[in-house]
Amino acid sequence: MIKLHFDGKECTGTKGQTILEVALANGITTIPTLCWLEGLHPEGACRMCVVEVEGSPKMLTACTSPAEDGMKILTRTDKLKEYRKQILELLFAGRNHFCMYCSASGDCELQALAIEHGMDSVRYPYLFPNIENDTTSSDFMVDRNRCVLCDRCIRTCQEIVGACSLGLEKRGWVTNVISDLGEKFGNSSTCVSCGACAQACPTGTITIREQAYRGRRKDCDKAVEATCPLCAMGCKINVHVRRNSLVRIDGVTGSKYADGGQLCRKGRIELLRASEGPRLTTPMIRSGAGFREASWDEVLDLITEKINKADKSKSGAVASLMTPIDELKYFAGFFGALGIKTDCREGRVPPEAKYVKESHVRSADDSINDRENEVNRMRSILAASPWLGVGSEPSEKEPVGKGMLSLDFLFFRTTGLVEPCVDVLDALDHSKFSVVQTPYISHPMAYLADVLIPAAAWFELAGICEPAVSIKEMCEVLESLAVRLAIKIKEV
Amino acid sequence: MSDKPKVATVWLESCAGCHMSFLDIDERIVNLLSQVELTASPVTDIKDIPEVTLGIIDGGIGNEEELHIAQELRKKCKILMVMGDCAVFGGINTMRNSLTPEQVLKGAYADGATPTTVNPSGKLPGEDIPKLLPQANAVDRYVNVDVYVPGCPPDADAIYYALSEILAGRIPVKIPADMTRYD
Amino acid sequence: MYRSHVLICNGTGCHSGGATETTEAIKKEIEKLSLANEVAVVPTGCHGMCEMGPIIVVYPEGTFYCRVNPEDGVEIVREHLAKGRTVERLMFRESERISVASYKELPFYSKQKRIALKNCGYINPDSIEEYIGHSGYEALGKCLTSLTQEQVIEELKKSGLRGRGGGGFPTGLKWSFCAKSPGPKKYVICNADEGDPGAFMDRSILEGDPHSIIEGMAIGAYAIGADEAYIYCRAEYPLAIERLKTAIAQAEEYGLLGEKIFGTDFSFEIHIKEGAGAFVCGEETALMGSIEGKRGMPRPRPPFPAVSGLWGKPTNINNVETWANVPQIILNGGEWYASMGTAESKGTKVFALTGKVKHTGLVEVPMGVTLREIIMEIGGGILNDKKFKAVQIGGPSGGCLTEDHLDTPVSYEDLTRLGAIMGSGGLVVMDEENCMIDVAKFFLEFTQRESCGKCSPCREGTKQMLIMLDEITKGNGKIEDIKKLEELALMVKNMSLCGLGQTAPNPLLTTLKYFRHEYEAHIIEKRCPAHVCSGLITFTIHADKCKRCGLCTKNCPAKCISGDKNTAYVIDNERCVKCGTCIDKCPFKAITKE
Repeated sequence: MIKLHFDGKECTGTKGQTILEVALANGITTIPTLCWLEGLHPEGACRMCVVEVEGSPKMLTACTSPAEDGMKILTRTDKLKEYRKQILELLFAGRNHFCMYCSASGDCELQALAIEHGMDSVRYPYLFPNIENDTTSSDFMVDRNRCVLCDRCIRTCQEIVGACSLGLEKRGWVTNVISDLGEKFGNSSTCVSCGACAQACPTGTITIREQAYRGRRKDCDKAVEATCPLCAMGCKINVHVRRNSLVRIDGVTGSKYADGGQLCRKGRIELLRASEGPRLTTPMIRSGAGFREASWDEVLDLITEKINKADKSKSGAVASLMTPIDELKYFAGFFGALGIKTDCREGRVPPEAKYVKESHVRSADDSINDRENEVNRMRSILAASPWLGVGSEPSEKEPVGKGMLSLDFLFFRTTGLVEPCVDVLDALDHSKFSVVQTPYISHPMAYLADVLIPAAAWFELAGICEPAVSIKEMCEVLESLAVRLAIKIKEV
Repeated sequence: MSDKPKVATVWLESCAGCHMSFLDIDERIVNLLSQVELTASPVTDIKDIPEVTLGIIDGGIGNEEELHIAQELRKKCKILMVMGDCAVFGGINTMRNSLTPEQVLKGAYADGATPTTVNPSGKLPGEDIPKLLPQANAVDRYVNVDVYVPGCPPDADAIYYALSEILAGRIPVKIPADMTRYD
Repeated sequence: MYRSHVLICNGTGCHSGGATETTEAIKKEIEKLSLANEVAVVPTGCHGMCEMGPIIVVYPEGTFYCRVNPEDGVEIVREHLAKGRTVERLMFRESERISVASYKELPFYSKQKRIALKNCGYINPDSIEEYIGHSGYEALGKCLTSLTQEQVIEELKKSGLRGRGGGGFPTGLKWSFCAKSPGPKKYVICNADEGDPGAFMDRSILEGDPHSIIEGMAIGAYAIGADEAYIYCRAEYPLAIERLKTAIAQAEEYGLLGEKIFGTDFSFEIHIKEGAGAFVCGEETALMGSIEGKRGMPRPRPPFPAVSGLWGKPTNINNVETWANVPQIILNGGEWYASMGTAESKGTKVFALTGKVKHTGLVEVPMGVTLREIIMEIGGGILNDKKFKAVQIGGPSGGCLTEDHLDTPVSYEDLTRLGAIMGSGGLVVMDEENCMIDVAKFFLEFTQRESCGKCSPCREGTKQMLIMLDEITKGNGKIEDIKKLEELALMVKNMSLCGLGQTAPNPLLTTLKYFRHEYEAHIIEKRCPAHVCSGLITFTIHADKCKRCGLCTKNCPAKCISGDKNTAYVIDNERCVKCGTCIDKCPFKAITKE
């Protein structure tokens, strides 16, 4: 145990920690940082965190210097404040910083530091370098005019993601961040488009197009930690919400969880994009080429009627594995009690190796194993005798065979987050009566279903937002149907 | 002859948003105008600038006319305040600085995004418009500035704060961090 | 036994002056005159008086010949070697009438004490036998067979040797840190990335006496417990790299490198790593990063290289000149080395004396010798007998000192006291025709270009200081600029991550301190007293002297001189490019520049 003083306040730390780590652990917030980011190897490049140590002629960077017992540290002397302000003015003068239309304005660490240090003018001549915007990537915008060369993107790509796609070129004031050995961002062959660099970027240099202008972090009502539903990794995500709309999804930096703070493109971008579809709020019944709104009773009665009339051996039910486990249990229990074959599609695939560094697959936290075990159990229950597949003919022995056949009744619970697969679309197309339970009115299901039942979206199920009152959970729907059908849902 | 301090405002290379934000101080303008005499200003439409205590510049300097006006105001005022990012930092106007003035004019008048029926020959304006300076820049690159109020536009509260402090004689004025913005 | 030895300097300087051709011509002539058995031709390293090259010294007389081309070489063979008549016209001339016959009598050499440069100019660097013949590898043998590691370090500590690359850190102490770090893998590195513009001390040692480095590093490796070394040599020194490769191969052949040296348990191998053109890679942590294959950027310390260096292992890194001193310290004892120099700066230092002195070149003097002695006596005084203005010490990291400081002893402590640094040993002498702001600008241009770009103060700060200086030289300076420059310079000095940024403002700060009047002249009077800054010079044709011959306008590349036989000739200073051709061409000295 070691003792340090920060501006007179005594704090304790352990040997091996840096000065900054001790400060943060003790709630000291007076040391500004720019190039430091939790989870990354510190560089001491921006010089914002430089502190004075009593008795030492040298000033030290708090993020890299080891904390020693007895150190008396001053974090906000007049000299330090003046030096920091000079550095900030130099940064503003060096490149073209246009806050007024920057999507990161309000979220920008450089801007926040400048305002905090009372920078209301820049005493150095502006250099107006002619740096072209890099718009080659369809997911990201890279505007190096806003770059402060903190190297957080480079270190993130190297240390957390493992793709090592970003580096530096040239020297002096023309030093620049580049992809590979000088490629444009979108043309890089090593980049996996995960967006970790965009999250690490303190300014608006690397921005995610999907997230731009949706809102600033500080304008959001809340930021909720959840789990990404898109695949088996189950990476932790931080979801920023504003008026029940998702604004931004971040990975959890410095996470000690198996994902190591890494989030892939699916989690950062695709999930956000997919969460924004038009919502289904009331049950709908097909009417001609379109749909008409209906009450829950009408719809449940209709479904009951169709189930009773249907040949159970020529019926099927498909669930998305991204549905919560509890719902899957009800699903299996309900359709099992009816004797209708089940299957599963969508999601829970093992993560693609290129998205996640090797070390993340070795999970440090066993809870991911538990969840995976449960999902695998449900998968084996639901797909016990798989009947859904492409390209096989029905036969006498297996009338509900694989491929194209006319089902009497089909039920499909989807999360609406990913494109539905061909098998399911085929089955929907060829079934006499199909029910699709989905949060979003997303094509082509809207063309193919006979009845649409609204479902809570993944972020409502995760508790991030409240669903509309007209939406019932699947368990409730199946319970209502069970009552109408006079059956008991099996325990699974 | 009132002995109220005189104020003059000009808008240079700007969208005038800062003057609109100034007007956003709403009813506080009544109190303010009882303490000062507003002379030359786009709001009053008085063109000639007299000797004033406080000069306020909205907008940056990008051509010779703007430079001339800024220099004239600086000569005629005791305290010069600049408001808005264009005046404080150069702002949006500096986006043209990667091009030469010739390229800027050509882009605007000849190679415009839509073909124009008004200038089919692609002739560039000469003495009809004030000569563009090589670069658009902040006001303090050319004249000494006393008070800075950044923002795009600055909050009405920040403008009012600056004016109240100046009128109370509490100079130099630093806008507090919670009223400072750069957008 | 040869009766005569002809030592021909084959350092890079003389090399580019045609030394190879001269050597060939001399060899051919010796063959022709059947003197091959009597006269030995020895290509050597740098003698030091580089301005006079190509240099030939003939022994046993010690006759010193300068500026020898191949024809001259043939004459030396015919006259001096065959007939015993020295060739007067090629000998060094102190003045019009006095020529100096003997090498040792030249004040350039008599005032020097060559320890690191001991063998340079005497032996053939490509011959390990000659090195061994001059007590080579005896020191290593002594260490391995009769001294413990602690005793070797003790000897270095006693000697008071300090890092000659500029840091000035006590070498013995540095070795002891690394020795204390736990092994078993440790590294030793030689920093041969001499980057200061105009400095060539390390290059001359590497080209002229590469074995001294090998031996020094072997001794150091033994002392700290390392078995592997890297020499990081800048790629711009191809001759040095070639000589090192030859030397290493020869040493390996002789069993002086490799396994079980001198039959002991000590094994040692050296690799050469070429630099790739970055000044910043002379900084130790950037250098190690470069060897590891990364972009050469310094990293914060702690941890220090002695604890965690190359690939995370304890590493000791020293400069070429430091290593070159080690064998002799072991042979002659630490006390011998400490007997030279001042209280805190022991031994000798090699300086590259350049600029406006009569004798430019490499000199090695004991610490404590004054600047006046180096510049005026060894250097022979100011070129063309102009007036001394300033001397810049330490390259882009160093400071400028004035006439008032000429009696300063050259030592770490005395120079630091004045705000200058010893640096790696570059000394640039300036006269009244040098503009101090132009000098500061030159060095800032260099440091800005070489800045690695990692930390904001250096990357952005040096650029802004350079811009402000540039505006001042163009006549656009404002009086507030001086204070702004000083503030910025102090911030960059205090906040930069590594030595490059921390010392980049030094030329600016010292010139501001000692030559403020020149800054004020540029800013307030819009005048450059030294007539260097082209934006502030006016060229004038004096009508009373002008004979209207028209030679000036005929030769003017900018075509800015107007006039004819009847009207006076006039220069349009707006279009003038300040080349000075008109002044050179005017036969009547009617044109001046102010």
